[in-house]
Amino acid sequence: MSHRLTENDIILDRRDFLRRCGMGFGGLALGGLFQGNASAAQPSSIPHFAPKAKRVVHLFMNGGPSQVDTFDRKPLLQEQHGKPIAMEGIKTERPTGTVLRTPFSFDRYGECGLEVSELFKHTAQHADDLCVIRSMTANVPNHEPSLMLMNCGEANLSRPSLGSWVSYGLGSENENLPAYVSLCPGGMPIKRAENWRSSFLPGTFQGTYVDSSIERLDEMIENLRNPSARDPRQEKQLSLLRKLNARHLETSGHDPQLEARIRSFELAYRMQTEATDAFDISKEPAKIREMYGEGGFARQCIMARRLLERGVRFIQLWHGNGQPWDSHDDIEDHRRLAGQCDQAIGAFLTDLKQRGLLDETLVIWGGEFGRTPVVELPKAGSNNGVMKGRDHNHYGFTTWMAGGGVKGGHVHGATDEFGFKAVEKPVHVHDLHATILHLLGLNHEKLTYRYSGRDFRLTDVFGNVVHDIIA
Amino acid sequence: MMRFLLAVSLFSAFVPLAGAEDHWAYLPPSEPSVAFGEGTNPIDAILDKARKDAGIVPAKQAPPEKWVRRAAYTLTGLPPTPEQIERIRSNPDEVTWRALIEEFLASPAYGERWARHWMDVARYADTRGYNFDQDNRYPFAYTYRDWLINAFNRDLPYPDFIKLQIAADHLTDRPDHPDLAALGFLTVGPRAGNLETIDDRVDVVTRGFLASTVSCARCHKHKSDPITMDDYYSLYSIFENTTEPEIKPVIGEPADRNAYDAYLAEVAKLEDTDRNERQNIVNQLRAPESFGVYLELAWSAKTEGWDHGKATSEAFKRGRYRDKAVMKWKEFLEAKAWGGNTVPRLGEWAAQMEKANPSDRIRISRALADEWLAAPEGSDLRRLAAEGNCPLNYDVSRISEFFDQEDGNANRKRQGDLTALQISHPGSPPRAMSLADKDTWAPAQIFKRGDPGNRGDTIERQWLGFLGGGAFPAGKSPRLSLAEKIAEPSNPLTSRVMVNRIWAWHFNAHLADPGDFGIQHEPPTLLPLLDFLALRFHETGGSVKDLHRLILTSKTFRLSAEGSEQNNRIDEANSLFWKWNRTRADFESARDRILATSGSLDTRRTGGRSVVLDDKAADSRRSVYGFIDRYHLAATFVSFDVPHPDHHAPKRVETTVPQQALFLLNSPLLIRRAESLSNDTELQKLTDDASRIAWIYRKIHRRDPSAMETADALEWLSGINPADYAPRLNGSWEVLYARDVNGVLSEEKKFPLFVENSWRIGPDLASSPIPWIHANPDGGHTADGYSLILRWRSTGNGEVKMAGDIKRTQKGGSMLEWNISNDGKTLTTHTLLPEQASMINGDWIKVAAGSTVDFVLRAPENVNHCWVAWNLRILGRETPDAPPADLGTFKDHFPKPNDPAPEAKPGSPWADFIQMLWASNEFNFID
Repeated sequence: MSHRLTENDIILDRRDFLRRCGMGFGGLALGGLFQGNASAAQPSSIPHFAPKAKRVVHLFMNGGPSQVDTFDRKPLLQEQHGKPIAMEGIKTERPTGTVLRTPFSFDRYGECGLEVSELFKHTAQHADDLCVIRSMTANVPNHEPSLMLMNCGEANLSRPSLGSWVSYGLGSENENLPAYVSLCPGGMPIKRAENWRSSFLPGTFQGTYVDSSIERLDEMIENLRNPSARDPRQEKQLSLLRKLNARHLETSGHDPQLEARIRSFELAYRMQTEATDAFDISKEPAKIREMYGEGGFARQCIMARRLLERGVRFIQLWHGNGQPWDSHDDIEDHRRLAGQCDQAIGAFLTDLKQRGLLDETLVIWGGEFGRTPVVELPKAGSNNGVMKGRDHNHYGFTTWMAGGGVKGGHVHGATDEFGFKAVEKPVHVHDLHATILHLLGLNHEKLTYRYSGRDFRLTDVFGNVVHDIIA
Repeated sequence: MMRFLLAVSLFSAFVPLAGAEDHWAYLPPSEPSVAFGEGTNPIDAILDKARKDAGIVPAKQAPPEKWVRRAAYTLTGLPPTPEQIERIRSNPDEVTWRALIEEFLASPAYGERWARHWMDVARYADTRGYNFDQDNRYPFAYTYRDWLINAFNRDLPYPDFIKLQIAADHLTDRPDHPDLAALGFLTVGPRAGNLETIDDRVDVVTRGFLASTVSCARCHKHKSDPITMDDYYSLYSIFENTTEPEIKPVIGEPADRNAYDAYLAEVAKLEDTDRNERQNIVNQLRAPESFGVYLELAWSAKTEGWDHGKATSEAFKRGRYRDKAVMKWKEFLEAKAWGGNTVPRLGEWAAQMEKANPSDRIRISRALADEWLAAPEGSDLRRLAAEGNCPLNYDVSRISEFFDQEDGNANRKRQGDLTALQISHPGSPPRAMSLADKDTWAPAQIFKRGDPGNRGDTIERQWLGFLGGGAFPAGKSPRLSLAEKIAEPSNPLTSRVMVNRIWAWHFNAHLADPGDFGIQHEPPTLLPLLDFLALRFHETGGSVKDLHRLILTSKTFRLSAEGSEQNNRIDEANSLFWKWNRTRADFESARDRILATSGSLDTRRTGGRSVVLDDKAADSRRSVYGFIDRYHLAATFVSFDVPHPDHHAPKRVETTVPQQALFLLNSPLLIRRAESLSNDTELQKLTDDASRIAWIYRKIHRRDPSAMETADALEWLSGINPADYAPRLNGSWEVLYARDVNGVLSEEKKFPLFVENSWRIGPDLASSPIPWIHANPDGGHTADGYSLILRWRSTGNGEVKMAGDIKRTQKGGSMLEWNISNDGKTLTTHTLLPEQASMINGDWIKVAAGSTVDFVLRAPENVNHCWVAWNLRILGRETPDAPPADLGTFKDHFPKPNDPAPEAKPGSPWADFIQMLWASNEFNFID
C-alpha cells in the first residue's frame, strides 16, 4: 500500500495535524501524522523497511567538479593530450576542442587502493569508507536544470526538494531544530532557495537557509535571538502570555489548536537557546577547529556535525555563493576550490567516525554534473582568453557517498576511457534519489503526496535503487 | 481524415464517460429537497436536516458581539470598530446585524480581503521566478491585484469576473480599458520556458475555475477523469497562440498629477534623444556626401561579393557607415544597375564605376547621389526613391533595421532607461499585463507523450469533452469561446467550484475538495447545500456579495464555537457545521490586525505598487500590497503558510510552528509597533495602571478587560524589575580632535567638514589649516600638536571594552602613540612604530549612560607617513557575568553628518504587555 498525505488530510484531520505539527520545526512527519490516527485511511508503515541511515549530509560542490581531475583517473588523457576524440552523440554546452590532460597527480589510497587526485588527499584518507559512483548521469549540460534535477528530481517544474521529501517522510529528531538545514557561506547558490524548496509540500518542510559565514549567532536565522545574551524581559513576557492564554482557555474550553499554539511559544523560546548553541562553533575545542582548518567550508562542516549530533535530519553544505566549481577557463582553479574544502571534508569524516555518527549518517559528495575531458574553446564573452578549462558534462560524472549503509572502499560503474560518458552501470540522478531514500528506509515509489489530483513522488515515474552499493 | 479523428476522439471520450456520466460534479446542480418556509435561512434549513439525520444538535448562538468580530474578519480581515461592537451589543437584532453586514461589504477593505483570497487561486506574484541576471520583476502585476480588489468591491458578476480574466482583450472596446488588467490572471504566473508557461495557464484556468486537473492529460489521457489529450491540447493551443505586448498598455493615470507630469517630462526627454539618434542615421542616408559613400560601398560590395562582416569593416574604414545599409543598397541596386531590370541611369553609373580609377569612384557616386536627390517628379530615380525597400525611403520608424552594434547598444540602453522609468518612477501610470491572440493561429496539435518534439495529428480546438465538448466556433477567438463556456450558466462545475471556495473563506472548511472535482471524489456529504448555493449564485447573476449576505444572516454563521461532547462523538470534524470552526487568523489579516490596532494602518489608500513588508514604511499598508517574490519567497510568508506562488493553491495548509511564535516574539515589526503604541499620547496621559490596562485592552481586543484580567495585568506589572527596562547597553561613535601639548589635551572639537566620506578640517588635506588630520571608516591621520579622538559614547549601563587592531601600512615614518581613555582619563598608552600593527584589547570599563570610551591617536614627534588603518569594535555586557555582546564596529557605525542624535530609550513594560496581547490566542483566533 502506498503512503500518502494529501492536502485534504491536512484539513480533514486538522485536529490531529495541529496536535502533532506543533511539535517543532519539522515535527510534522508522515509517520507521525498517521500514528494512532484512527481516521487515516492506511496504517502507518513508515519507514517502509529498516533504515540504514538516519540522517543525510549533502556536500554540494555547486558549479560541477571535474571527475577526471578528482575521483575518476584517466591515464589516456595524458597520452592523448591535444588530440581530437570522436564524440558520438555528445553535445556540450559550449564549443570544446581536443583532449585536455589533468594537471593533478593521482595516488592510491587505503586498502582498497582507490585512486584519488592530490586535490582530495585529505578526503582520500577515508578511501576505505568511500563508495564512489563513477557513472552518474543527468539530462542536460546546464546548471539551472541540473541543479533542479539533483535537488528536486525535476529540471523545470516546481517540485519539492529531496530534503523536503525526507523531512516530510521522517520528520526531525529534535523538535527544537529545523529538520532540514541548508548552509552556504557568504551567499546562495544559483537558483537560490529553489534548491531547498518545499514547493507544494507544506512550507514547514522547506530547508532553513543559514549563511554560515555570519558570525553573530542571532543573525543567522530570522527572528531568532539568543536569550542568554539578553535581559530577562522575554521570560517575563512569556509568563504574561501563559497567563493570558490560560484565561482564554478557561472561556473557550479544551481545543487542541489553542494548546498547540501555546506550546509553540515554549518551543520557540527553547529553540533560541538550542539553535544558537548548535551553530556556535566557538564551543568546539581548539584541537577540533584546527583539524577542520580555516574558512567558510570548515566552519559549516563543524556546524553540520553539531547539527547532526542534535538530530537534524537533512543538511546541505554548499561550497559557496554562485557556482564556484564552474572552471571553464582554467581547471587549475580546482586546486583553489579543493583547498577550501578538502581538509574540512576529511576532518568531518574523521570526526563523525570518532563519534560513531558515520554509520547512521549518509554523507554525499558531488555537484550537479561533471566536466568534459576535452578543453573548452574560447568564445566571445567568456574564458578571458584562457584555454585550460573544461565545459559542463552531464554524460558521466562522479558522486561519492560514505557511511549510512553504503559499501566502503567501493567503486560503482565507470565512464569511457576518456571519462566523458558513463558506460558501465550508469546511475541516473533519479536512481541516486531512489537509493538515498532506500537507505533512509523509504520506498521511493510509496513516499507520495497527493496534489492537484495526482500522487507525486520525488522520482516521478523513474528511479531504480542501486542495490550494488548498499552494504 | 477528419472522420477518422472524430471517431477516435468520440471513442476515447466515450470510455471514461461510461463511468463518469453520473459523476455528481458533471451533472447540473439540483434543487434541495428540503422545504424552507418564509423567514428560514435556507442554509440553516438544509444543515438542520442533515444534523437531525445524524443526531446532532447544533451549538447555541454565539453572543452578538462575536458575530461582528467574525464578520469583520471574514469580510474585511480587519478588527471591527468599538462602535460597531457597541451597536450590536445594544441592539442585537436582525436589522442592526444586516446594517452592519452592509457596512462591511461597502468598505474598501472588503475588496482587499477577498482579492487576497483569489490571489492564492491565481498564484499571484510580483516576480516571474529565476531569470539569470535579468530583472525578474513583474512591475505591473499590481494592476491585476488592484483590478481584483476593485472587482470584489463593485461586486462584478462572476461570469464577467471569469470572462475578463481569460479574455478581457476581446471584451473591452478601447486599448486603455482598465479591465485589461484582469488578464494578469494568465500572465502573473511562473515562467520556466514557453511550454511550461502555457501549461501553467491551462492549469490555472482549469483548476482555478473548474477544479479539474486537465493538466494531467498532458502526456496521456487522464488516469481517472474523462479528460483526454484532445482536451488538454485544445486549451494548450489557445494559450500557445497568444502573445504579450512588449510595451504594456497604459490603463489609467496615476493619482499624483505632479509626479505624472514629471514622469511624462522624463519620458519626453528620452524619446527626444531616441528620435534624434534615429534621425541622424536617416540624415546620413540622405545627405549627398554620405549618400555618395553608401553608393560607392554598395558598388564594391557587389563587385567584390562582400558578406556582412566584410561590409562592416569596409564601412568602418570610411567613417561610421552602417553595414546593413550598405548591404541593403547592394541588394536594392542589384537588378537595377547590373542587369535583369536595369534602370538606364544606374546601368550607366555601374559602367562608369567599373572603368574608373578607384580614386574617382567616390566622385562618380557622389554625382549620382546629387542627381538622385534632385531628381524631378516622374523620373526613374524619383520613382525608385519612393520604393519601400529603397534605403532613401527609410524613416525614423524603420531605421532600426540599419542599426550597427553601437546603435543597438545605445538603443537598448535607452529602452532600459525607459523601462526603468516605467517601473520605478512614482508618476509612471499603471499598465495592464495584457495579452492578445497571435495574428495567425498555429494549428492545435497533440504532443505524443507530452513531448513537443513528437507531434501528433492536428486536432480541432474544442471545448472540454467531459462537459459537452464540441469544436469552438469559427470567426471568434477560441480563447473568448473558452471563457464563455466556463462562464455559461449550464456549466455544472463553475458555480459549484466558486461557492465551495466562498463557503470555506467564511467557515475555514470546504464542502468539497476545492482542488479536484474529479471522478475520484465521492459526492460531498453536503451536496444539497453546495447545489443550493450554486443555484442561488446563478439566480443572482453571480453576485458574491449576495452570497455573503445569505451566509452571514444564517444562524450557522452565528453558532458558538463550543458544542456538546455528544456531537463530538458523532462528528468531531464538524463536517455538518454544528458549531463555529475556531479559526486562526491567516498571515495577512494577523499582520493587518496588528497594524490596525497599533494605529499605523492607513485604510484610506487602496491599490498601488507592491511594497516590501519588512520596510518600516510598509507599516501603513495592508498585507495584500506586499511584494511577493516567487523566486525567493520571504521567510515570513513561508512560516505562516502563505502558499508558494509557483502553483495555483486551492486552499491553504495550516501549520503551527515555532517560527510563527518567533515572529511574534522578536520580529522588528512587532517590537516597533508595540513601542509606538506604548508611546501613544492618550495612553501616556492616563495616570493609573488600571486605566492604562483598560485602554490597551480596548485598543487591541476592542473590549474592556475583566476584573480578573486587570488584576492579572496589575500583578504582572508589580513583578517588573525596573532595572530590566533601563536603557539597553549601546552607544554611538564621534570623531573629534584636540590640542595636544605633551599629551595634555585641550579644546576638544568636532571636525568642521565631511568630504569624501571622511571628517577633516579643510577640503584638501595637505593645505588644510591643520594639515593631514582626518578620519574615515577604515583609517585616518593625526597632526602635529593635535590628537585624533574616536569616541564611543554609551547610552546605557554596563561594562564595555574596546577591541580590534590598528596597522601602519606606509613605509617608514615617525613614531605614533595611542591610548584608550575613559571619561577623559587615560588608561593605557602604547606606541605604534612605522610598518607595525597592534592588537587592541582594552580592559572592561564600567559605563553609565553618557560615559565615553576614547581611542586617542597622537604623534609625539612629528607626522611623517603616519596614516593608520583601524578596525575598532566595542564589546559590551550589561552585567559582569553576562556573555559579551558585540555592540558594533567603528566602521559599521561610522558617524555621518546629520545622523540623528543617539537617544537612550528606556524599554517600556507597556510595550512588552502590548506585544503579548498581540501574541495571545485571543487576538489570533476568531472565536
